[in-house]
Amino acid sequence: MQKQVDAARERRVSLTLGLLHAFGDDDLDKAQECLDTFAQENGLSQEQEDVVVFRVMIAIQRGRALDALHLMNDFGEDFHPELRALSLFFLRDPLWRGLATELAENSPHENVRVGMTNLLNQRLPSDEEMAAASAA
Amino acid sequence: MTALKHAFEKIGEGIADAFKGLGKDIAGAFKVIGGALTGNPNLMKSGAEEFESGLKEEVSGIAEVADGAVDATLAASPLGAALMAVIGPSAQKFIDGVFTGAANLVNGGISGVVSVASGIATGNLSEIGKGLEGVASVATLFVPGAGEAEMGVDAVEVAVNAGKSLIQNSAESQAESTVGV
Repeated sequence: MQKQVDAARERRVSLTLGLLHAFGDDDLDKAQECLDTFAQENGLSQEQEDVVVFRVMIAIQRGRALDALHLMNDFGEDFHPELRALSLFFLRDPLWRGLATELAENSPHENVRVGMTNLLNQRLPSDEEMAAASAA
Repeated sequence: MTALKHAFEKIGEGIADAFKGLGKDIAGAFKVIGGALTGNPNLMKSGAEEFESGLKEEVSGIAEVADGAVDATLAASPLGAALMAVIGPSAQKFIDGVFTGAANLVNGGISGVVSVASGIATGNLSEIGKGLEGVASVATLFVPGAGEAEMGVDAVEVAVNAGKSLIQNSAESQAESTVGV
């Protein structure tokens, strides 16, 4: 049983780090492949919350923030509002700032408060940057 | 995207540093990563074998490492905010095998138990084994963080003992009903 347990963890470590590094390399097809494999091997549906988090990030990084918002619609407004703020940011929807401010001040999670504070210090992406992200 | 790449490199460095602190070699871990990325089974196997040296349970705290890495690079990357806010913790959950709202895994566990019961009812030993494997697998996935292996084994043993108990109870009730006839 020990080996079975270890092998399962090794595989999860491998695929998760593969996913993270693919993100870092901007190799989004590979990131999607790692995510799909992880979900399949662990019996997770594509709608499982943590899987959706990465699907949303892949959509945002592909320049498809609107698709990212659609992915989150099934979960209601409480589902990772920080990701919603980020999607609105890349859509340059003015609502992003109010949501990010609210989270930066009142989120019970420190990582979200810090993350949103940092986001508030960013400049909105330019037209050229948006076009480049969508074309990539 | 340069800042994000830098952040992920920092995560890798953080993991390597964590291993160095433990006096262990990270090479095996990165070979496994390479195997996952390239789909090269030989590379995957090689990395997995090096994992056997005992460093495999020590890759934890990814979320914390990610948070630290993002702090340094966020000024140039809005996506870094999301990395810090959600990806780090979600990556940690992936590695620990503890998933948010994992109703499907709970269902998987129930299926395993059902298979055990079904195997007992039908006397199908292979079905019993299959059921226990399912329970073990789910128990493994729910065990958090460092020391998982040991806790996982405990959980598996509990599951197996529960299965044995079910078998015994079933056999006793079978005997009683036979006596009754």
